[in-house]
Amino acid sequence: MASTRSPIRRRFLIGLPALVILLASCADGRLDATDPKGVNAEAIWSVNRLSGWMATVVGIFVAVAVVFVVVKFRERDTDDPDEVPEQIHGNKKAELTWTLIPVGMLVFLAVATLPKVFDLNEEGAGRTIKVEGQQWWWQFSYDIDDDGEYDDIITANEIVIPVGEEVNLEIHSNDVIHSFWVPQLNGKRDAVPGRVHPWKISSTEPGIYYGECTEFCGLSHANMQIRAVVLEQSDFDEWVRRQLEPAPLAASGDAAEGAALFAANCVTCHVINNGDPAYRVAAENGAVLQSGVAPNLTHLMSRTSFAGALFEMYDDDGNLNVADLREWIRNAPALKPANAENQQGMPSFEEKLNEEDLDNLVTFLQTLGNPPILPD
Amino acid sequence: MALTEERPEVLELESGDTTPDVGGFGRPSHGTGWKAWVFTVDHKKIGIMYGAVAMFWFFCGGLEALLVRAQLFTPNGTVLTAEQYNQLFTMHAVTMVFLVIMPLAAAFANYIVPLQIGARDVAFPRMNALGLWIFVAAGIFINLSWFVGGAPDGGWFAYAPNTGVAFSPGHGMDFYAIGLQIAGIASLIGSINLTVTILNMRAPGMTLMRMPVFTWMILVVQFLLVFSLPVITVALVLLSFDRTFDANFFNVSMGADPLLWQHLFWIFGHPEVYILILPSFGIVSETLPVFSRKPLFGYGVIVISGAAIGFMGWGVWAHHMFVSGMGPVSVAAFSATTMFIAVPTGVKILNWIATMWGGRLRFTVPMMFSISLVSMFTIGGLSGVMHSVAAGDTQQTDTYFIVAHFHYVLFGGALMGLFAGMYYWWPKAFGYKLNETLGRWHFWLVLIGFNMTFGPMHILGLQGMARRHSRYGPEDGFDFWNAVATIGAFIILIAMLVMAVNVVRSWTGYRKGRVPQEGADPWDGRTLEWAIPSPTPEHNFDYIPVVTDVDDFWHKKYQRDESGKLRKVADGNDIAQKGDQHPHLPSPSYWPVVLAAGLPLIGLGLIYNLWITGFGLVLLVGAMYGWSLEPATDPDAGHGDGHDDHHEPDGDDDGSSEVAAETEEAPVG
Amino acid sequence: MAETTAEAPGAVENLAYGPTPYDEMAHPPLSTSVTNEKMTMWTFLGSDCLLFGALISTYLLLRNRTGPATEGPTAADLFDIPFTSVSSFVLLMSSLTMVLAVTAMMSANLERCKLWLLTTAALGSIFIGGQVYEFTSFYREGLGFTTNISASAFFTLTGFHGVHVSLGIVMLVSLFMLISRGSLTAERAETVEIIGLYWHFVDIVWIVIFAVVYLIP
Repeated sequence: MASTRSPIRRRFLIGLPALVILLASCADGRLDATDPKGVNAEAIWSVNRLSGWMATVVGIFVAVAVVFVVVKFRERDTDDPDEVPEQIHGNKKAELTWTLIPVGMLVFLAVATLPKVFDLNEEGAGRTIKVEGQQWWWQFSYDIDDDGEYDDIITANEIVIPVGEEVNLEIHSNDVIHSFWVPQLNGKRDAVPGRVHPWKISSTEPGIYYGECTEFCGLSHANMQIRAVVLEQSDFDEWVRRQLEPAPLAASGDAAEGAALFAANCVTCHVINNGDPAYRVAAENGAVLQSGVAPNLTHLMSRTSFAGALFEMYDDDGNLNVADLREWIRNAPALKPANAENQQGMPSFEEKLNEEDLDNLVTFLQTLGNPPILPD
Repeated sequence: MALTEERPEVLELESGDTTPDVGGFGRPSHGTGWKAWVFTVDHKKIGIMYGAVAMFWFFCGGLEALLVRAQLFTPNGTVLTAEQYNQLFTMHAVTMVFLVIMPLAAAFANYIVPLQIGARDVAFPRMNALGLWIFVAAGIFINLSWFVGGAPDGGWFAYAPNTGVAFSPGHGMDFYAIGLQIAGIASLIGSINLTVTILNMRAPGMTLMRMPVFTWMILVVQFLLVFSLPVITVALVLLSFDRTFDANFFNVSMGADPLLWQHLFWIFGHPEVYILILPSFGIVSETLPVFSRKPLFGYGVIVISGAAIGFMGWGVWAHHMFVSGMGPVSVAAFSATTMFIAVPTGVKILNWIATMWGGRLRFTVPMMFSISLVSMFTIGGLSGVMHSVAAGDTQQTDTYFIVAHFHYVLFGGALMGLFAGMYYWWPKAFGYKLNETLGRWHFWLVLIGFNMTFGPMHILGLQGMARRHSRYGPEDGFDFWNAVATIGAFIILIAMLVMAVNVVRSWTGYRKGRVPQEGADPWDGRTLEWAIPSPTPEHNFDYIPVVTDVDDFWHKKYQRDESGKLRKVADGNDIAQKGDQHPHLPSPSYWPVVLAAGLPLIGLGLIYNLWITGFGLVLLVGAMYGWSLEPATDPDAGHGDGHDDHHEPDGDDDGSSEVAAETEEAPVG
Repeated sequence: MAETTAEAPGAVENLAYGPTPYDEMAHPPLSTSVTNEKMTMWTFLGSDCLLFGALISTYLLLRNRTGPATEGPTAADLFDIPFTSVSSFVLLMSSLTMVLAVTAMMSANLERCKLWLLTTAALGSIFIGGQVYEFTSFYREGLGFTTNISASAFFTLTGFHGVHVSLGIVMLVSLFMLISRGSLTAERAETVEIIGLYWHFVDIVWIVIFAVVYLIP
């Protein structure tokens, strides 16, 4: 980017794609598609490097040509003002050359890249997970018992997969269009209401990969994040085992008070210990959300984040992030823009719950599930 | 709304000058003052008004962009709420696309095309005025939403079902849907008018393949408009019916397919991209030969590739939908067509460079903007080829890499070309040049600010920064380049203020005699508009020219001597027409502006209260009635219409139009 | 090449473009053999093709789509093909009478032109009457504009066409009145021809709608 500072050399900016790729490859953001960790992400990055270098070469050629012309053929004080430059109207050979060379390059690019489109759409060898986007969070459902119903594990914002497995996704939307994107694992695929879109993700190494919704979906589009937690197979099996256990029902004490508050305030939208897909339960209670569904909280504590993966559930020492969780229950729209009057997002409970209620609710929520299993 | 500000001394003259018949069906005379602008049917005044109004919206749209950039200056920005952010990025795009670049192109098309083809006006002058005033009405209508509950917030692409009443219960999207339909009517009227003008009103001898390239590109654009506008109109009608009359077009629970909207929108939306860029391609195809002192290299190839871009532009729309879930076969097909549209575009770039090759380049401000179009558009074009690779696009789409791409195309391409056109044709329209020094400042600041703003967005996109997010986290690693981009955006603001200062200072300097009056041919031009006085007389041509060649006027000035050497045989300023004839001209009309006022009322009524619609309809039908019954000409036409004395005073008079242009910009600046 | 105009008649001054024979005319000659007005109509109709193209495609895409909330019949369930065939035939015949009106105008037979114009308008009105009847009977059978997705698409498509026919009728009646008042004479016969173009276009669109929407199951 140094060239921007030197206007004289401005035309070298045509080499920008090269600089861009060089600079971006040393970036260390957590959404970096130039640092692929999945099979498809690697395939896409190789395609992008190819097109990027081709663009860079052509760009440098054009830049050099422009700079050369501008320097060589500029008007000089020594020029004879009566001298009229030769009036060249064209040259068929030149025209033909610079039509055919781009055609050739593009044919090469097409042949090299179009098959990848079909590769990306091939079904993976692994399990299938149902992905549902809604304003403004993601739900992931697993079919563990192979009965064709994605009702065995239902979790929110964090998709947990075993390392190395090509996991198929079945992408749905419950309201508007969203787009599922975990850049280090694969490209995007839109979640369109009324349609089911297949896609897949896989990772070559365990870790937590970050993602976002990338199709504009309204007010809190920026706050609809994704985490893909990739575990070793044994860890994954343990995660599944724990998820299949029902949450214990709080029998006494503050947690029981919290459970009562939960039953009074939260079950209209949230579900614990489902057998049914969450939205059906919510519907029986008179669905109050445009999407008809809010996160299933059965194993809330097993997640690393909450509220559309906006907030960490635990701090670095593994202590529960009570402060944010309390604030979230008290007044969610203040932390994450929502339009609760129009049944979009979680409403504020500031008027309904006092400080003690909030404490009790948090105590109750702490009984839901074990701490997360983290990748090594 | 525009151009009602005039010099007071002119306003005084205007009383008693208009003499309509009783009954209201007379026609206003060629008056002075604001009436000379509001009721005019003169393509030149209409063109200037398009430009002035578009520049006003340019400052508004720029302000919106600056607020967006301010919000993104730091992680978790607090300048704007998410709601305001969504409204601002939506309106920034709507404003820049529909209220700035399209009308700026319309400004040049209106002013220059009739001059380049040797015509006295467009085919239908009153329709031309109607198109302008409907465009003005549409701009006011859409922006009215800011003051009545919030602007549209569903993005300019307005993907269903997010724009339905269920998810966007406010009235913002109603203003969007109805406002764009109104703007569409304006564009359709203008495009049909210009199509007929170019096809039918060319001077004797000007065959299609002798037309200036700018006129050619405008013709291609008008065809694109004629055929793409009805498609977006259908999409907007469906959306309005859903929102206003509870129809089910995008109601998923009734079985709707949201991709229907995307297809309809992009079948319009992709030709729209070429609608935005081709006028600028036309402009630099005029300026590069003039300032290189050479004819355009490969005139035929440039014309044909322009037409080919327009034609192929119909077969690439779904490249906006590579991740929308169309099948891989469609994706691959649209990927291939998109790659190959790069061929005619690349051919143009190389032809422009070949045009400069071997010339003697004069680095005037319009030339500098033209060269920067060639360079900056190339960057945008090349990143466009990267997007055409569908597999790769699954990572790039909806990130800032795309934002960088289309700003290099639309700012580095379209706007740079329009700036070039502004500096190039300013003396033709107003009789004096804009200051070259301030123009250079404007140029360098724009170029630096532009690259600082949009260059880093390539990097941000590859780092994974998604579009239309009202915030990003500190842990995402986007801070540095966002800060750079925001600083760049404010440099662009400074550049535009320099331009505004230039316009004011050049105008005041001209009025005080410090800035010289230019002759007919200040740049040693090649096309017909330079063969008539500057500023253009009201009737354009004393004598309709007879054309025998491409760049006909240049051949009048340069010929080969006995030895076969090219020599300048005449100075353009000497052999240009004198503007001393007085042909009969069409009279002004009251009705275009009245008719145009009816449309936003109808729109407001559909949103709030059908009584207002009724009132708007009465106005509309009344105006049509008045329109069809008004006499063909003003009884005074031909003698008392005030251009007897137009040599010096007219130059002054056109200077006053510039006041108007200036007052548009001043409040924002 | 450049000398041609320099020798133009009356070139007193050394002008690049001096007086030419064309300046004697109020309007210089047109570049094509089509008048501006007719070209405008053709361009507009080209644009309108895309409008109906988009509407017809929308209908075809949506006519059989259902979702969890869908109820009521689809538009196609209620089609009365014999009835619509008759009204389509009436509209088709109006194209014939329109041709007769244009021919009469061309041969300066104003009275006969007026007669055929009125006939055309009357046939168009019968068609619109049929459409109003069709819409009301659909409504009575439980298919309103908002009932389901096929209804919205059907009423929008045919409604747009109906509005086009109605505007055509207004134009035909206006022509009738202009000729009666004497403001439209045989010299401007082309005006009738241009309105005729519009009328034929609207008819052809209906043939397409009738074939694609009503007849193809």
